[in-house]
Amino acid sequence: MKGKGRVKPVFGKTPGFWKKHRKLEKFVYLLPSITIFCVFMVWPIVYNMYLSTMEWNMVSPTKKFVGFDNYKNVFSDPGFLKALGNTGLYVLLMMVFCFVAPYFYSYVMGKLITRGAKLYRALMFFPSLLSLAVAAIVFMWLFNSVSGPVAEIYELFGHESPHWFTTSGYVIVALSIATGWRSFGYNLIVFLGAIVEVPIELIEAAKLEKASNWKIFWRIVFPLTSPTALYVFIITFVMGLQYVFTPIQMITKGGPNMASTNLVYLIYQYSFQFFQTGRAAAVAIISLIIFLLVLLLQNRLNKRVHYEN
Amino acid sequence: MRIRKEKEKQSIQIRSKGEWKYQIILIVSLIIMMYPIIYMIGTSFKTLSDIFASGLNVFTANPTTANYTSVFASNNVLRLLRNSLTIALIVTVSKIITSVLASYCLCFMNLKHPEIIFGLFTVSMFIPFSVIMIPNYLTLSQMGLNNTLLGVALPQLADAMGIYRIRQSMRSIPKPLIEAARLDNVGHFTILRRIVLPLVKPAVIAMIIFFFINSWNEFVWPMLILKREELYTITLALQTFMDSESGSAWGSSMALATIATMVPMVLYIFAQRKIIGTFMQSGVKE
Amino acid sequence: MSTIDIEFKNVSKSYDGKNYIIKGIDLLIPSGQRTILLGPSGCGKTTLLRMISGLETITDGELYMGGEVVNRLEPGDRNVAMVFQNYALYPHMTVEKNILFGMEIAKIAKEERERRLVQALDMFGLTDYRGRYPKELSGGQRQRVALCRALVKRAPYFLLDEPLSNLDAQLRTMARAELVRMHKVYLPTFIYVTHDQVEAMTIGEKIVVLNEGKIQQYDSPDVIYNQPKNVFVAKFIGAPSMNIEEAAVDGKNLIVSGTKVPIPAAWREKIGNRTKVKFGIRPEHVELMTEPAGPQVQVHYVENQGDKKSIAFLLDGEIFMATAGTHFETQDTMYLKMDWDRMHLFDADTTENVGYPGGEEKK
Repeated sequence: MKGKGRVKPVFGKTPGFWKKHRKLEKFVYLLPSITIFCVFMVWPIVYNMYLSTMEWNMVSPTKKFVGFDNYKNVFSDPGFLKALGNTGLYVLLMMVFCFVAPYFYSYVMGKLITRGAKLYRALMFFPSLLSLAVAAIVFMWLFNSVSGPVAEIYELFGHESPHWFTTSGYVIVALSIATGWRSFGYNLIVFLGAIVEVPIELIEAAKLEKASNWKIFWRIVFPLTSPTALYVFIITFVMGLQYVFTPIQMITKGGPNMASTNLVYLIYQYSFQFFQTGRAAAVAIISLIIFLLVLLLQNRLNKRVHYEN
Repeated sequence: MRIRKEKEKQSIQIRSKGEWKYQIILIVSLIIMMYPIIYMIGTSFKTLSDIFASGLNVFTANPTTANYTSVFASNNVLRLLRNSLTIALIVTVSKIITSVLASYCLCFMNLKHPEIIFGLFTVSMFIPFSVIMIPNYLTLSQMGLNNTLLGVALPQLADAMGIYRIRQSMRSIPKPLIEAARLDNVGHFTILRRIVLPLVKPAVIAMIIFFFINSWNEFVWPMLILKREELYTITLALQTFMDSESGSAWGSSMALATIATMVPMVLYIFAQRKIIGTFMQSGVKE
Repeated sequence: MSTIDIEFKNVSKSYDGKNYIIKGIDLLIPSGQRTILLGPSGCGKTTLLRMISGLETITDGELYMGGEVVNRLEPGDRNVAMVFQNYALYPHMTVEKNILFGMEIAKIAKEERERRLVQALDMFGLTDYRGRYPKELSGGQRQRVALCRALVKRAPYFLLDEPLSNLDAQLRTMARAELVRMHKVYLPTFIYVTHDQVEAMTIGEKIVVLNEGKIQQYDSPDVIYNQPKNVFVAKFIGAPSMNIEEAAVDGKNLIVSGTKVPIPAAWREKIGNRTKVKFGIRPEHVELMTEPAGPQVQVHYVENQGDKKSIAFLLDGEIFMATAGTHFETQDTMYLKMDWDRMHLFDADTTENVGYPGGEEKK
């Protein structure tokens, strides 16, 4: 054996606690997250299902099994049907403010302008930094029917401002605007991330062939960004379900006459105000089922969607 | 080099056709988007009569700090800030640690089916809060954590979004880097600390700020858990201004809202690029 | 068997339990030698290397290192140094830190670390670059840093996974010489994966030719070149690659594309009673004549390589190559003269060679 600097090989394990316990090591890395998820995500869903078959007032030590009575009662409750309809409206409006609008703006900012895009996106993200509670309070004053800025604009045109938060119909629009304004920027950024990935050459080539921007969007941008679009669609749906809770709670408390109540607010009222925990749980499960149906729909669409890779 | 420049020039020429229309749309939209924030800040420096008189104008000739003085007089603002900060710090530190550990494990520890565990985490990102609200409230009551700051923080010590983002960032690290270290008998924790973390630093910083802002802004969950006023966070305190639409609280509510917004804004200004960059990568690409 | 030989015993690898990418490999890699794992992409050569390093698990069979089964031994415990295809330098560390990192983890004394660092940097002419970051280096410099990093480990096994494939041709020639020089100084067991046969021939003392998860031939470069074991090896080694033609055996004659050639006595016993064989001849053993000397052909195209030219022509509708020193024009009519002593004959069915009259070359 010639050669300098030659060392004899050392075989066998070098000592080390984790080397002897590789499985344990993986477990330790995952454990904190998994524990929190199991205790505060998985278990609650199961427990909620259980609660939805019980009659219980949240404080009494005994629960009474009632089977599907809570679900039956819920569906015969006009308040629930009202909340369900309102939820649909909220979701629809949120889709306009937080799905359609940011999609359009991200297209304009990402592909149709040549300067200022960075500034626009940095500033348009700003409202997303605010608490929904802050958004609620600011819009409560903005929509103040006596001397809020919106009322001033109505006055400019010689009209009288509607009483936004005390008129059925208007109230949902106003609350959706507040929520949508605050959530728009986040979705815009997510969309932008996808749209900047669309090769500019494709768009320029189409432009040279005199394709309209509208056509370019549908033929090139939409197919190439649809996975992201579906992701944003889902989070917007979740926003429509739950983000509006904060402005409802802060401004209208579900009023006037349940005109602004949505499913989540109904769950809150059932459980924490009327102490009908079983019913609240039943509504929660129904909202979960609706959500799962949407996820399923997303999956269906996803399969038909053109993927990037 | 020169050819590239030429091409770029040409591409700008093609795109900038009719750009002015879009610039106008964007500028108008930007004004509308920014107006509520400027309105909030502007109004917080106005007297009540000024507010009624000024119409759409957000600025005032006679700024006053009276609203801030009255907010500080009627609320223990420092206590509100301290409560918010306590929760936000616990949540942020914990979320970042748990997310980094879980992401590292998913990416580099040779799990049998990482995609299944990751899929479960991802799905939980979308679970509506309403479904878990009641059971979590009951769990925390049973633990005796109702009406405690820890009770607010506890269910949020881990975060699916964090795992999603940080994993995405870690996946861009070439595997051979980790393998080279493993051949050198480097333990996983050292690899994480010395190799992986420095390489995903931008994403980690962005997530720290994101977690902090989110926790700071949270309303619903603290509202359910915190009933005693001395535990109120700054967002909960905003609630107390809502009961009277009389208008007397107009200025001071805007002052408190402005105070509540200052922290996220300052953080954003410092890390704007990283935050935008991280979120822009968050679309679905697999 | 020396204490630090590497031995594969019937080793297989499959990811899904159905398709095997390594199929029952038996291989003994002696210590202190430069062994090349050579084959086309997807042949399993990198997988074999990664099995030695412990980065890839073994589905079936045993891997011995130093007389011990190491199937379950972690990479960090195997005492191997590895150079990765893309070098795997830590982008956030300087050259110096990259090289020192492993030694620091191994708790090598500080002076010793520094000594090895300086020596390695000096050996590869990188002394002036120790403070630079990988992105500030050229491809060749990065590759050398990767070598340094592996070298300072003083590991008995030195694994290289296509380390030169990202370099341009000129640098590659230099790097090959450098690698051999380095090996001669430190003499570790040197296992080198490549798909480039020139690299394999110039660096290797032994070459393992792999295809589809199986060893095709394991010999010295000369034997591999002169006595390829089967048609795959024959065609894979050498550029332009060996001409292979179907040939019939007619008593004492071999009929290659219409030309009758008497079979020398020495070959006849190798052929045995086969009636069909595959005939192979390297382009450099085919001469082109202007006088009738064999089959008449027309030049199809010419590849100019400067010092020599590769001439392609059609023989029985298939491309046949020859090398020549002089130039030919397309469509020129020529006559082939083959150096029959340098031919190769393979079994028509198994594609294994029938043997060589002079006996097997010394391995």
